[in-house]
Amino acid sequence: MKRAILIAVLLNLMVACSNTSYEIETLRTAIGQGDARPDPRVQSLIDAGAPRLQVGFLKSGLAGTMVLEGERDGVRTWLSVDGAALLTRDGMVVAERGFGGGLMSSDVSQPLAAIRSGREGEVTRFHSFLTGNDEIVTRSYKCRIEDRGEKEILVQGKPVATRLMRETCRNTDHEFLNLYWFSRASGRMVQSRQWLGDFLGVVTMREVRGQGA
Amino acid sequence: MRKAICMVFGISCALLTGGTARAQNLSTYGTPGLIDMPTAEVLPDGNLAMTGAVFENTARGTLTFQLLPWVYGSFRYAYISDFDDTLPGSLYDRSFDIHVRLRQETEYGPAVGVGLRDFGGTGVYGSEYIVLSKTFADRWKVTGGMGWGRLGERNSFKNPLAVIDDRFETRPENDAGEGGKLSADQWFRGPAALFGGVEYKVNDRLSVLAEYSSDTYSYETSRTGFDADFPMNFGLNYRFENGVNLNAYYMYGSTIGFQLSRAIDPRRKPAGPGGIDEAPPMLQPVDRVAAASWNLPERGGEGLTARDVLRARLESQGLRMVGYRIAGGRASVEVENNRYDAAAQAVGRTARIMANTLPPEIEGFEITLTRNGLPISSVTLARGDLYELEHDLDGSWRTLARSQIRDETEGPDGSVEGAYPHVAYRFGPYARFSFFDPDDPLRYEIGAAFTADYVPRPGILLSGLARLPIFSTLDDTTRVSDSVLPHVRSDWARYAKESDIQINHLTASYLWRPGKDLFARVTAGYLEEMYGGFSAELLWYPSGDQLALGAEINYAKQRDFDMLFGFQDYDIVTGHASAYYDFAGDYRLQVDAGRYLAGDWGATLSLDREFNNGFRIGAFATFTDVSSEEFGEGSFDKGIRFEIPVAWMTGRSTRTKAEQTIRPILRDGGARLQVENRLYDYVREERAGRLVGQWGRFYR
Repeated sequence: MKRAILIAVLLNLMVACSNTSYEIETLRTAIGQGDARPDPRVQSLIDAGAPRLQVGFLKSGLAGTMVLEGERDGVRTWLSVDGAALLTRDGMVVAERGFGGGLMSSDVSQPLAAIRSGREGEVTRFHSFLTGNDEIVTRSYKCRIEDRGEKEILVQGKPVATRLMRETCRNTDHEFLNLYWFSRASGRMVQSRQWLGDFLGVVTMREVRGQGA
Repeated sequence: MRKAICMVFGISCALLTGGTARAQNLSTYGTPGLIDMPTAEVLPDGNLAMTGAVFENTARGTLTFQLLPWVYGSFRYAYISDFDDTLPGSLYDRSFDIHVRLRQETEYGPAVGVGLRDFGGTGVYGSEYIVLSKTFADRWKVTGGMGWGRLGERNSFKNPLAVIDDRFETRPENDAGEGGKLSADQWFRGPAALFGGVEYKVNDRLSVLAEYSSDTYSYETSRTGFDADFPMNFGLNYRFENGVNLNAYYMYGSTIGFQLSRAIDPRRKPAGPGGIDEAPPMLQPVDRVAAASWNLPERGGEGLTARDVLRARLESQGLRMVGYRIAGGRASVEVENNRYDAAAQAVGRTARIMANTLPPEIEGFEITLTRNGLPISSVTLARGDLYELEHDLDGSWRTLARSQIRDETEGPDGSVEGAYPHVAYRFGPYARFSFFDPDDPLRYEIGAAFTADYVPRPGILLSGLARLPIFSTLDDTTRVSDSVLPHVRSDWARYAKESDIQINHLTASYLWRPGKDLFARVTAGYLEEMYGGFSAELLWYPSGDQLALGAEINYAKQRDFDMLFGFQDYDIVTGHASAYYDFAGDYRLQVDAGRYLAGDWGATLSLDREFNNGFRIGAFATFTDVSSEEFGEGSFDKGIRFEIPVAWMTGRSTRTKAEQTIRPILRDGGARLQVENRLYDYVREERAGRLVGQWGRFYR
């Protein structure tokens, strides 16, 4: 009898079951196998043919395609398959959720106005980060916007004529560089390289054409 | 305010949590120091350092916590193996240190510190020191100091403090008795000696260390033949990129030693500051929500009711909706947060889902947080503010400023069909540990556990936990309790030995709100592993206040050692009056005064440092009318404890916490009944203080 109980229990040790907690997910995350589960929201968006964005995180080497969840108030929310999100305003990243970096919101109105109009000069940008201690800190950066002229880049194998704008930012703690490529034909940002904060570093983004974005 | 200033002047507001502070070298004692000698340095505030060092026949494991910017404390477990069979065998020794910084280093003046090692006084490490350290040319750190006790052995001289009083000339014999008491009559007495050393930083990774030690290791020399005649020690410290430090030593001209150490800042989460939870659903544009709501039956449509949609959407975010009511343009919901370690995040997600689901004419949201049907707090906010502030740079604080957080004594009238009865269960593995008892540094028990909570009606909770230990060393102890008090705790090993399947608790409780800011609980059944009986508690916890007061009274009868249904003869009425206070910063003070299990009267003092993210480190001590002779080894009950949110480690939200209490020894004096669901901790996370503190996670 006791042996039977023991065997049953040992089997159970492999898999805990519960109707409330999320410990299996937690465990899977802890041992690094937690990203095989696609978010159901994402699947339905992909099925509906929503616009997509190719992203790559240089620091972690993570890369993939994100899909547009929607737009409100000029801010677009892009979802990854595992349910993390990037929020962009006219192509410029303003927030991130679920990638770990805690970039909660940004005020990028000055650099945005400058790069869109192709105007060089000094601007200020602001970022609010969630810290590991669950507090929000806001940081400001002085940035220099420069027009780096015309560049031809390849987007999905096709050459596209673009204008490259460069933004060099610094404050007492950080220095970073953002690059934006604007299509000569449509005026839209077709490719960019943007800094998301200390933890995540740089993300590269490229629109996937033919999706009506 | 600080944020506002930052924005106005456009200056950088660096993370207050720092990280720029230079890494301190840790000594074999696990405190900022050279090799065996201390320096006047301290760790960055709030840091926790773990150190393991081995050399010759000594091993030391130390935990050092910088509890105030100018005070650190250490807990150490040392093992000294014995070569000489004629003397008592190997020694396990537990010791506590404290170090106070008297002066911070300046450009022209050194840092000054004073410290006590092993101030509890049974052990072999009892010593005191005053020390000065100064950095030169960024790379050289020079330290010099004077030591007493063990640090006053080599080339010692007459205690200069004898100028004040002749008594300082002699150090009395260690008369620690049962130990655990402050050995204040020895501090800074007896001969003194000088020590010193230097650290040279070769580069960011590597340092070279050299010291002159005033410790002759007389205890070890006499017992193990360890040769410490040569006074110099040399060492290397290498700092890996991941923060781990590896030290190697050549010590006392006779042996080599190795050491690993790591300091962490609890304010930094290993998995990243923002967590890797899925993104919350984006706030949908109002016109889309309006279009979707045309199909609701409330509007003559044929779809699911708004209530059902809301409930399902909340469920998918780990939030259980148990109450729902719409009246006068306002929607009130009652939710139980089963997932988020920050209640503010649960409120934020609930608000988003309400905005995405409810028809646009509903402009006000009221979200009541409850636990098993006990309403705790409610947050009222305007729907329009969500739309306006979701992407605002200072959105979370502006949302907070426009919201109202109130005490809530009852949920909305409308209950949700099928919300009760509710069952939650778990069947899975468990592990528990006992660290650093006098005979074994680690005891453990691993097995299977079944736990279930059944809530037939709001506030009524039937709860049980049963365990089957499979691998256990808890019952290996050969100690038999020699306590002269009633054996209310000291027979713990018999419980481990004489049980197979254990019923750890099996209780029926009722929790309710007798009035504003008041919480009440009654519990009956098998309250804990060793006691069954009745328990009643009342808590006054004003919303948003720093102070809370409580009272608890229990009748407890000791359970049989088999941990099943029987009882022994011993019974007692026990209870406490409690005061809880949140200090500015991260400090929590708790005082419980009353009668303990052995019938002794006294008070427990607990001081915790609880970081805003829930990481908690604390210490407690209980003083009762039991004398130290009656108490036995350790003199009085005391210990340190940790509470680490699992979400802190993994980055994925869960309310589970890893908890561990380390007691030097568990005896019968000052022992308190362990009742499940004591009210303060049961409701604290959802009271206004914590909600506001973690409000930064509202839009997370």
